[in-house]
Amino acid sequence: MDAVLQQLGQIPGVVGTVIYDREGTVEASRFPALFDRATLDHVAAALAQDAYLEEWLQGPAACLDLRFGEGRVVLRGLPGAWLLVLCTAQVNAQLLNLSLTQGLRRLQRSGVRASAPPPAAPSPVAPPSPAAPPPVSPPPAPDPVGTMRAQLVAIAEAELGTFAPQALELFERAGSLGELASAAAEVEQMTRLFVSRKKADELARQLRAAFEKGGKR
Amino acid sequence: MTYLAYGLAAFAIFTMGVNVYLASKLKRSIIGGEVGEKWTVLTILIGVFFVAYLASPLALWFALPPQYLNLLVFGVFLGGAVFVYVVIGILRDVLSFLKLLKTGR
Repeated sequence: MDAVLQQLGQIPGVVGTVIYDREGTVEASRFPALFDRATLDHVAAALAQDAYLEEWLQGPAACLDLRFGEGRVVLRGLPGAWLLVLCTAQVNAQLLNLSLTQGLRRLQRSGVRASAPPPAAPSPVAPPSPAAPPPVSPPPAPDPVGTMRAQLVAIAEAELGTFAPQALELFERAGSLGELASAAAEVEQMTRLFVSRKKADELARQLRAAFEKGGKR
Repeated sequence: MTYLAYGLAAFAIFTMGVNVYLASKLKRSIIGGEVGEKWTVLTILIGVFFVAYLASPLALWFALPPQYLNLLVFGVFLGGAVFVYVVIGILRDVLSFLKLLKTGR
């Protein structure tokens, strides 16, 4: 769960993410320290109590996208829970939707349940201190493929503009780092053939740098 | 026989006129890249052919000497050969990208 929220948090424009259940209990969250635990609990409780929201967000395919002047809130349904993503107005909607689709699929596969109480079980990270807002659960192993995919998608989105959906499709199909590398080569070839040689060279350089950086971790 | 030649020339000019229109329209839709560059070459060739096709009935009308007529004809053949070469290149690029080519020649 935490790996999915971490991956979503890496999308440019995403401020924070939280998963809460029907009782309004926060199951997992990734927000900056500005949003303390009490605030998140209050928000989750208020949203869970709203009958209209519960009606609108029925089922795992439910989605609500609220846009404000300076930001955006996306709510997605999970079995017995909801995922809330707070973003700035500049967030890339396409990239966010793609990452949300992937993340929700992973959460559903791993069986997100509403019943698990979130607050600090003994965590290997640190004992919870009353003042600080600690992470809700001990972080599981990060997902290197998902992280790399998010980076590659961000690069493709920034460089390719109108051709980005085709590139995103190629990255979405890749299930391993090797497949991501093949997808990156295909995206470069596509750019070279149909967009511009110069852009293809720049894209190749950035994708290569992302793989090298990912490999060093 | 001469009328047949004029008829063929008229049909060829009409067809090539349509090709000029279609090629220009497609050129505007192609963003760029290697395929875009090759398409530019094809569009120029199509334009050259169109001019040559327009001139062909005049060659008949003014009874152009055979040596000049042959030059015109074989010049168009050469342009056609270059055209086919570029088209093969585009097809090969696209099929290779789509992974529709058999590996191991």
